[in-house]
Amino acid sequence: MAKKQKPTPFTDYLDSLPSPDRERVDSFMAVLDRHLRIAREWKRQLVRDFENALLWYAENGVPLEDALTRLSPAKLGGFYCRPADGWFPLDAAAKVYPLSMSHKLMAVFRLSLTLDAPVVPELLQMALTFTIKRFPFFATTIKNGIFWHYIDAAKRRFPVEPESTVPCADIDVSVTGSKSFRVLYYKNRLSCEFFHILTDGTGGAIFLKSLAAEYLRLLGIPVAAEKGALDIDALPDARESADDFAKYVSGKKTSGFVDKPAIQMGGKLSPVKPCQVIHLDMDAAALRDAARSRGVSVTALVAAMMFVSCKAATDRQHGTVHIQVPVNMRKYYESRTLRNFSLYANIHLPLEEITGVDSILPQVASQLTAGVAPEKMQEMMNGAVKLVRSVRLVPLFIKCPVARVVYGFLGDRAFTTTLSNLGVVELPQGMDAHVRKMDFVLGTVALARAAVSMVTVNGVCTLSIAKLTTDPSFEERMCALLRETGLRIKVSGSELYGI
Amino acid sequence: MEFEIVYPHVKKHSIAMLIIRRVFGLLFLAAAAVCLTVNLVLGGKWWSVIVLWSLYMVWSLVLQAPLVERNLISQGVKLAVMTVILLVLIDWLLVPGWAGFVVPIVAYGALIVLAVLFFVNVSKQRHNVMPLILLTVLVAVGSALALFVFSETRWPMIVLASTAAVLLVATAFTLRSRLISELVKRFHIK
Repeated sequence: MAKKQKPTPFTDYLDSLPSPDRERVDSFMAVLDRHLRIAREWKRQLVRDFENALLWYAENGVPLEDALTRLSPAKLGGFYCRPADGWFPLDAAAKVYPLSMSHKLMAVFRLSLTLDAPVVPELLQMALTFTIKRFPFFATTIKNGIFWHYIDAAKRRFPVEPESTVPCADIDVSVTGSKSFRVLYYKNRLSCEFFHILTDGTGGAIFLKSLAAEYLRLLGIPVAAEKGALDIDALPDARESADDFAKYVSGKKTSGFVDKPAIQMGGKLSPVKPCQVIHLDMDAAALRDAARSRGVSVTALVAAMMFVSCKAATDRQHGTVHIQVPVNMRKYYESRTLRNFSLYANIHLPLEEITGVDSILPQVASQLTAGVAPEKMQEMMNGAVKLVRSVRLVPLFIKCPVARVVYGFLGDRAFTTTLSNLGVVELPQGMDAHVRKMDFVLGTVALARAAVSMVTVNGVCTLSIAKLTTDPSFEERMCALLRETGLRIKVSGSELYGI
Repeated sequence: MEFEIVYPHVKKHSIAMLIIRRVFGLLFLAAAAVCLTVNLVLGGKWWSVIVLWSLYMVWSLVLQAPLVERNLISQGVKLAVMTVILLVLIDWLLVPGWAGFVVPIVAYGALIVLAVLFFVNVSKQRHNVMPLILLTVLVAVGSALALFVFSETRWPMIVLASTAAVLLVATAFTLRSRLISELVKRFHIK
């Protein structure tokens, strides 16, 4: 005798359908079955995702025909039909992250879009399931090689999760098949957190926009595949997963990565990383005007404010404040890569010279201009690639502990804080009307008490500060300085974690 | 500074493991230092080396889980290798004369258990096969070399080397071209 299936909301829904509709759903499920040739455990969960999405559509009055079209299994392509055979070596910038990561430290960053309505988890899950095939580089898991780590293709269900932990919390990449990114939702906010081995801010923004575009499509809002939102039904382009560091390395001139130790802000280091995230929202045009009126870029103006804020956040009288400014190499080279393709410039000022924003602006602006000069970036890129090549035959079990020690002593001590400006992110037609703001949060490192990141969307510039100490001096000073320039600031953020 | 909270309340962010690791780290360091000092002061056999290795084993296997590729096969291989080293140390430093017989038994047991883990679920475990291959090669080469060292108890080495060789061939036969691509990935220097 056949075992009677336990009724579920979906079986109840099926039973309530008239016969022709029931047949349509059955045939939809049969087609879906042909698209899912993966481990039983994942298959069961993926099928349940489809069922949940169909239920959501039914409960929200979307006609069945429309729902089945939106959720067409053809959107899965052949992704779940083929075994996971691909793999990718890490790019030159990514190689350091698994080498230097520890149980206390992992390079994770986060990008979020705040939408005009609460996120529907059922549809977000489907959006991720449909989007992931376009980003084979993201559908991977990290592995140990004999000489380098690499990322290996992973065919599994990539789940979306409600936000429940600290932003930019470590991602558990230890178990075979585990993912290196997470997709989160909380009220109106849709967030992606990435382990830096996968991508940088630019690649992450493209993934997030493509995911959001697919999510909106499932909601019945058409979004154009433009301005960084990829057509998720197109075939992945090999150039998107290329290591462009190796492609553009040229010339013999190199520059090193070792810098003099920077002073660190005061305040006890928190065991929870980050212990708080703060967002300062402001009018992007007003900020740009404030910078232009001083004859500098927005990045230079904010960096100058950060120097003054760093001084306010330490009791030390001597030493040098170093600000690390990531530089998007796509500005200099033709690149379609979604992987890491950014380096950084260092700007520094002795504490004694930091007297006020306007007085240090010329120095900050000139250091920034010199630091991001193409020749300088080329030298740094040559240096990075040369370093990677010089240790390529050293086994991983030797490289790992050495990298951890070197990174701990040199990497982290070399800068006081970071300023990462993703710039103006353009949204595709159809999406712009549904996005209120975007934010970009850098994960904290071992010593730097604050990491600052900025992004502008729809005329709203969001400056985010990820904190590693409960001492509020830095953000209070930043806020005051921004207000002094005449900007209206809306502050939001998280509670203090681990206190 | 007052502001709107736009993140969910985090009930508790567990830093328990961090604290446990720190406390045990200090305890282990203290124990290691005391053992080494007592051994140095009192002289005699180097028993403190065995204590140090045992502490490292517990630290490495229990408290400091690997950050990448933590699975039954990799942890099993690590446990087997570390146990064999511990046995060799005990034989060498404290009570000599039995390792030539006991180590092959332990290595044989480890190979069989890990092989069962692999062959029971090849489609999943093929992603974890590399530690098993490395162990098998290590055992095959190690036991072949040991034949020359332990001239009186050769048969355990012969059994072990043969088992390792058979396992290696069986794994290669099962994975075929996938074994080659696995080796290409693992040994890449790009």
